Amino acid sequence: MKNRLEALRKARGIKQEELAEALEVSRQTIGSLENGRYNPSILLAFKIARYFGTTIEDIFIYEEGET
Amino acid sequence: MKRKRLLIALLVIGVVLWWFGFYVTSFIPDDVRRFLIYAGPVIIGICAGRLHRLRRLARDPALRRKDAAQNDERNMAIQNQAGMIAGGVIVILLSFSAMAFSLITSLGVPEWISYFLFGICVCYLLLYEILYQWLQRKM
Repeated sequence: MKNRLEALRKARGIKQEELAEALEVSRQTIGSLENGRYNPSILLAFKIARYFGTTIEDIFIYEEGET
Repeated sequence: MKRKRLLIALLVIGVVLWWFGFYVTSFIPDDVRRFLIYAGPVIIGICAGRLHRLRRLARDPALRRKDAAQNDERNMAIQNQAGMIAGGVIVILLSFSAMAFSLITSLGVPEWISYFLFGICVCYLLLYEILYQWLQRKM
């Protein structure tokens, strides 16, 4: 699943470490999310959306046919 | 809290086992007593260590944050997947070893070892099925 996490983070001038600390996950998890290697749980997706003050759909882009 | 209670219960069991090993000499065979004398402190050590960590986590917010990050959902998923693959490989290795030991008699491995290894594989499969059914209902 594609996402705009990296773009949103950079637009706010936040480091991966800072975002990780705010979301209570590891920096590696943020890296994996940004690279699209890992899809978050619905809880983490909500946390991310709330942190950026937006909706899940604004950050994560679901494309038909994805598993 | 639930985990703390479980650890305290296990700690008490460890102490009881150790005590049995040392002082209940009348109806426990000597080799079982020797086993209890070693097993008790192992259980006590593991539980005491875990309890100490829980106490540190409760007192230190920085450590708690670090612990939460280390055990986040991605790391838990990785640990679960690694455990599942390792478990599957071990069961296959055990069942092949059991077959080899029972069929290749020239190895000279006692028959009970093959049965023991097969038993472990059967236990794994049974436990897997039970946990699978239980988790199916739970989730």
